[in-house]
Amino acid sequence: MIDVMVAFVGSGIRRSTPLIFASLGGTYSERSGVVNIGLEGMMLVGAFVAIVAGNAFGLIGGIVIAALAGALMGLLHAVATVTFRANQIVSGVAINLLGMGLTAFIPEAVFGQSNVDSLCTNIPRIWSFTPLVFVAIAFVILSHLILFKTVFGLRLRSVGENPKSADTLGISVERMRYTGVMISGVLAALGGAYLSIENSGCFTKNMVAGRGFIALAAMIFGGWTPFGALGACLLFGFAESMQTILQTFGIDLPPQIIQLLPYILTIVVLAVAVKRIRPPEADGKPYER
Amino acid sequence: MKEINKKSLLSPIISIIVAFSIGGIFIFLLGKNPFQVYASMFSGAFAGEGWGFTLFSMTSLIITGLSVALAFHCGLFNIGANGQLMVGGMLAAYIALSFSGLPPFLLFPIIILSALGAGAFWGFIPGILKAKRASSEVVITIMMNYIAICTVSYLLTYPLKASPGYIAQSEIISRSLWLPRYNGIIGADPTILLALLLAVAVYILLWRTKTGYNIRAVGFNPKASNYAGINVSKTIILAMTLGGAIAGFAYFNYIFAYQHRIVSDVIVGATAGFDGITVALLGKNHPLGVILAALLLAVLYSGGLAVQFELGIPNSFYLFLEGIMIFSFVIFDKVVGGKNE
Repeated sequence: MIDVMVAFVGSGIRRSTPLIFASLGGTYSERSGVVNIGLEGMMLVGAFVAIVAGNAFGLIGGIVIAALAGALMGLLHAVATVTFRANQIVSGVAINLLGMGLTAFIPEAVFGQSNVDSLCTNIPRIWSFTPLVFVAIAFVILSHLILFKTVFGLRLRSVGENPKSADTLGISVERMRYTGVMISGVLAALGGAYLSIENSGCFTKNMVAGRGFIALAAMIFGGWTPFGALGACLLFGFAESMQTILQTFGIDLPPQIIQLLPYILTIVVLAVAVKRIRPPEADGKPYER
Repeated sequence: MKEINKKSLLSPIISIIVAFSIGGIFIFLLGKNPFQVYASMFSGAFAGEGWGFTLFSMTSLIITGLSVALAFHCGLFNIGANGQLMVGGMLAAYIALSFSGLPPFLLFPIIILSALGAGAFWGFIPGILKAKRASSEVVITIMMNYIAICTVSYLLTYPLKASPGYIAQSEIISRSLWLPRYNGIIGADPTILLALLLAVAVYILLWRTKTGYNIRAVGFNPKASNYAGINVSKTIILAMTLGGAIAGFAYFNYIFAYQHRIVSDVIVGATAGFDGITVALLGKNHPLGVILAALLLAVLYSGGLAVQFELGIPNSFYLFLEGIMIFSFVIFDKVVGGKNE
């Protein structure tokens, strides 16, 4: 029984970790006023780069380079949406397609197969958890402090709520939004890197499998706050691992029933609780002086 | 056809050129000749029976593109074509399997209506939430996509699964409901005519009826439309519902003219909804533009499929080209200063 509980908690946390990274990422971007539906594509790029770079430079090198690749994807999204004031949804769609396309066609064209195995074995573990699990939890606390207790956080939020007044106060809306979107790219890529290099030891085509969109749901469900996102990700992650546990007790709940949970909850939250949970005021709106 | 002018054609054309150029650089870096690859792609899309598959892809692309374009005109983003086509296809296939005793001339209209109805319902929910609760239709349609994927996957894994075999798919539908194919070629079926008919219908709706005028007015300026006496929330709900109804047909050719059953994993994780956005954007939200953009994308897809083994350029290259196309489109459209998003 205790074994089962330990396995349940362990798998719940492991399933939540990539979601935590990506939904924190979404929070930074949207707090600065830029909708980021490209999380999925950014995670895929992170997952792929982590394996390729990890095979060349080891675990830490792989993760750092994956984060940089994520920043680059964020930069693309920022150039389109902040500098050119392009539609943020369309740009997000493009980011997703680029992420899916690049990570599907490069491994096939270069390595001749769509799966790439990681050479980084012997990943350090504390109670079966790999390093990025702890990094994710640390980032939640750190992000809360950054967003709500620092001048930078205040500025980031102000350009997402009321860019005009922020601008008159001398805050560069462009610079803050670039920063927010690029941080979101870094975090989403770390989520992808966790999936590939630490959790499965290989990159497989489309391995993110919609987690970018679940993270988006978690960000909304968590009310655009780091702790809220953490709670939502844990809920979604544990619900998933519940299904496996029920199976060991001989209860065969179809996995699709539990997979529905994040999506239905998010719709309910948006439909019912709109007063309490609302996006940043200027979220999705390009800023023009 | 007054809505297409020379200036508005500029950004789609530039973005196509940019995508092919950047794609060409990638092909070159892989040690292949980009001109040869592109040439083989285009000829592969039409060679032999390849044109059939191009037509097949084009059919679904026109339908999802129209669905997205219609919502665009009302200032709405329908990222839900993927879910709408799944539920449309699912209900249509379910009706086809359950009532196979009925004569086809009676059953087929019911099947068409059920695809339409299921898709419409899947569009209605984000529509009403947008209109009444100001919920982002982008987020809701994304969620609705996954609800559709999970539901269809559940149905095809458990209650409606074909009995032998491991694949999550339905039984084969009755032969009397199979749509005819010209010379048996995949894609050469009547659904392309349905798609073209829908394009004409969308054109007439948007530019020749009062409802269409209202949709465009709300898309242009909801506040002013409200003052002008247009019921904005009703128009928003209608545009999303109609968009959903159109998308409900996008799986039709696969089920009734190709595989003759519904398969769970075909669209899952695929990009039908995103493709619809690409088609609507490149086509400038005009039905004629949608048809042309769908043709281009279909050529890339089926041509890519035809040459992937021969040339060693995987078919997923097409997604990459598509990504760059949209990306350069949103940027150049701002630079050129087009009115439409």
